Amino acid sequence: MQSGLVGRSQRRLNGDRFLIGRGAFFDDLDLPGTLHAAIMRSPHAHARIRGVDASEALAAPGVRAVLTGTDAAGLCGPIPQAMRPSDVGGGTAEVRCLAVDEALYEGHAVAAVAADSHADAQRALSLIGVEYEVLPAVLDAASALAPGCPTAYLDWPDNVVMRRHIQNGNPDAAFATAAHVVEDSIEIQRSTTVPIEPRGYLASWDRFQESLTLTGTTQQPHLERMLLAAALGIAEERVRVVAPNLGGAFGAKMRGQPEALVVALLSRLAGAPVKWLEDRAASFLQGAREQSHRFSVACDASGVVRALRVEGVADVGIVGAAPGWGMSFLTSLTFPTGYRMRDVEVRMTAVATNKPPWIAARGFGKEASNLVMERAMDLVARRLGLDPAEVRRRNLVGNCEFPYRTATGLNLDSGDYGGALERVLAAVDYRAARSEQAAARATGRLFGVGLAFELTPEAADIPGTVTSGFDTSTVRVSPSGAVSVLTGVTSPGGGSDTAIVQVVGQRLGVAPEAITLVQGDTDRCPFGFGNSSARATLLGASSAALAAEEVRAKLAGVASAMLDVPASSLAFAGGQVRADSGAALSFRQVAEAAYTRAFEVASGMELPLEATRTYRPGNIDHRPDAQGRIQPYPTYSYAVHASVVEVDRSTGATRVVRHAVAHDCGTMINPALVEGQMLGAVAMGLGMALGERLVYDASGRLLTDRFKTYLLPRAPDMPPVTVVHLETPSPFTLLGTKGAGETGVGGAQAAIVNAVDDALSPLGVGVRRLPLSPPEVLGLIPA
Amino acid sequence: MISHPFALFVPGSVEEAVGLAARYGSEARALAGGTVLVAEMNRAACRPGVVIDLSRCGLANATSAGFGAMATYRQLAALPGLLGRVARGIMGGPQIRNRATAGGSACHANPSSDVPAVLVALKATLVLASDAGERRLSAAEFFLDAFSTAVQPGELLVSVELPALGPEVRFGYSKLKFGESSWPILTAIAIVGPGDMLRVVLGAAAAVPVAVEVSRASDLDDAVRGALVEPWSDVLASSEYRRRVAPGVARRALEAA
Repeated sequence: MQSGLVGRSQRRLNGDRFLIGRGAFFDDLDLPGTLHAAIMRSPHAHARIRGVDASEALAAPGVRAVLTGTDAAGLCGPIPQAMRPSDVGGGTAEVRCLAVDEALYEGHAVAAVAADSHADAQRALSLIGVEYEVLPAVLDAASALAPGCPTAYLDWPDNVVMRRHIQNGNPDAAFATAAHVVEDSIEIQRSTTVPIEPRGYLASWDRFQESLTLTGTTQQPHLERMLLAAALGIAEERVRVVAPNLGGAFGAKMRGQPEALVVALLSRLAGAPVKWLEDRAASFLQGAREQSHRFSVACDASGVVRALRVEGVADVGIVGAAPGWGMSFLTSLTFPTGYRMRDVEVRMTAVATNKPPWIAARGFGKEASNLVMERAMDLVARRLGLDPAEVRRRNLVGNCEFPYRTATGLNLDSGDYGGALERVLAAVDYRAARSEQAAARATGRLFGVGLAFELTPEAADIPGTVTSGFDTSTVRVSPSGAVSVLTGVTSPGGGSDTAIVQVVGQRLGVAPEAITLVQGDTDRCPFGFGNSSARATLLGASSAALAAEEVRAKLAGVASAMLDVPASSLAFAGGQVRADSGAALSFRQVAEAAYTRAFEVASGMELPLEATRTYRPGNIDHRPDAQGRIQPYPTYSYAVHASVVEVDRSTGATRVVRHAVAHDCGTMINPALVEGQMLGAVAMGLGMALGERLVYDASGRLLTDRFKTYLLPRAPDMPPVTVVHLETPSPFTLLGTKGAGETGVGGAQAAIVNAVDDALSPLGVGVRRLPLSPPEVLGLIPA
Repeated sequence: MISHPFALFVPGSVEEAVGLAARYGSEARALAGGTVLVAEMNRAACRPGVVIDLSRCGLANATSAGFGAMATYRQLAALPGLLGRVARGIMGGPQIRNRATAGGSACHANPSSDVPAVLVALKATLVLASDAGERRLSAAEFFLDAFSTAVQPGELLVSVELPALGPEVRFGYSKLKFGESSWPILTAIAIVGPGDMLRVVLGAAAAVPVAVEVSRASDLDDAVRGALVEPWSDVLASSEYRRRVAPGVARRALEAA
């Protein structure tokens, strides 16, 4: 094996091209004759669409096609949904690419034009007349659940999208006999993920082939192809989807966004390629994570928590076709995270309101479960006068208990939760932090320390859906010895492609620079499920490893014949194939011989030098257990965070003094890339804790559609962050890898929230509503 | 992307510029650095039929005695004193500071900005030119309301004059914002001297800068609260919040003086 490639912080694949501006992103692509699409969006949060008159727009200069909701409904079917509420006890909602007779949120697409220039398209929009009959809008979860309230969908009997109830053991008995019961609540705001690159799609309909090529910012090209083919009523083979380099996604670019279908239809109508690029203001329509929880835990006198009851209500906006509201289902499943309690009851309700549909936001609902558990643990510590670190020690699953079946049926594969806790306490210098706190408190300063354990189940397979736990790679070696890898997974820009190339390079003894990776093209890559939930490296690298091993075996067979040595004595390293005796051939010589001397040296093996392999990790079990539960996740990454903060008493502003995280994603193929993901995740969690919030006014209009009002952390806002790596391999995956990329968001959010709560504790107040912006915190501080 | 048609003029002198301003009146907008106007035009938040670019009118001087309407924050950052200090703290990086102008900021009169309060604190005089000649206004007279100044159609701001201050006058400045991205939530400039004089000008606290004078520092909190009759409210902070934090920000400015 090429020594040391796996586990090395190898430089990013094609990194030099990106640095000099040669990495092509969606908006860099330039197809001659491309028309520009503009989308008309409803200004009302809820309205009947009485009529749409596009005649003037159609006649406007430069306009080549116009599409209304009614037009679109006549040309294609609804967008297949990632998850249907009717499958989980909710109402029926068809999702169309343009609203037909009901606008359901401010920003809902109701018409579209394609024109020669962007300016022509924008001008044409102003010529489209839409007659709206404004309807009452429901804009918050409490109203959505109140009897007699308006419904977000006119034809729904109520606003319930999903109701879920999970119970294990006997919570009632546990609560009745507990030494202590601690109760509280937490309200989480709507936020978004803000990739640096907004969304865009370019559709090119070939009227001779009757086929569609869609180039666009999608995390899941094959899944996009599936749904476009289904909606357009054409065979999948007639659709090609290509994803160029993606400038980040964090869940905002999953399959099912309406604009992809809109440009496909416009292209067909106009007979030319049509491109739509999202402007930044419209990107703030993408939101998620808005939910509130009431929770209580029952513990004994030593702080061991026996039981948990939690109720949650998620305000998911309107039902979209892309993954989104289903995150609330995963919130319920992730309880009680990495803690031992057996008697658990979770009730989760998702309600519809007249706001844009949830996107799948990094964290995917698990960050909320982690936040609730970490609030609960801190409250137990406070009630019992215990150090919050000690409460975690007494409750976290121990090393000898893995694999550990949680109260909700999840099978935690491996970990060193206690070890991570000790490492992060050391990294943040916990004892010094508590001394700093004591000194600060003596002078009336508000200084806090917060801890959080974070469990991130990754790479689920949910039966009957396109959330899939397997993926496929092809490894090919050409006669010149060039190695290429074609993957069904894609990269959102985080570096999973680099990791895949490292693994293949190691198996074949070839430098990563000599390997080409092809991803994101449905015509070239094996069917795959793209990137999400940290699956790209786990499934992509593992399937590529298997394929590379198979190709290696063929090459070994050829070299063995050429050198007249046993294949088992051959080593692949440094671009050579070397026998024990010292005799060696270059990789290229062996490859060439396979093709040019096949009957001499490659008899008895399957040519060409190519293998396609699928990887299915262990641990996934869809057979329902005695309680009807399935175990959908192969692996469970985790982390422990520690945050030190100071709250300014006169302004309510929080400064994070320092932050540390000890994380474990199993075997790390590329530590530098993992660390990059962790720092970004901490920044995201910090923003979610302290400032990011999508604000709607009383009529359902979005007020925060720019970076001046949606406050993302910038570099000067970031504290020093120490990242400690632990590596407890998963026993269920080929390489011991788990998943990296999501861990960090929920833990950082929870640790910072806990730190602010700790800072305020001398005042006898607690935090219950996020974000902990200066006005929110100042409101908790007595004047 | 600017999607409405408009005429762009680039006059070579102030005389030419005011001639255009007179001709087009309220149909025209003056272009300084463009960091507000061009962004607004891109979003179609405004659609002026005429844009008068002032970059060739020779208005880019900057000294401690005063600066032209086209002086950028980068130029002002090199000046000593309060103006230099504030210019260096304008967010947005070199790209913004190399283009954006204090003159443009004054004319925009966004309550949530730094410049109006600075000009009031420095007792600056704003010089407006039109085809009828020049008009001078004090900073206090210039700012009328949120996004509203005394500039009339046909007038252009050409320069800002700064009175000389004695060496015994000291300034302190404090700016409260919610993170690096945020606009100023509340700013305070404390002017101490000559003698016992203590004046504080609050910015971003109300529709226009609010000036407060006290003879003793201990009177400052009450004076600030009393003067902030209608605190500004926006999506980042309510008027109650600004009312509550204003005395603290004022005190910090005083401590920095």
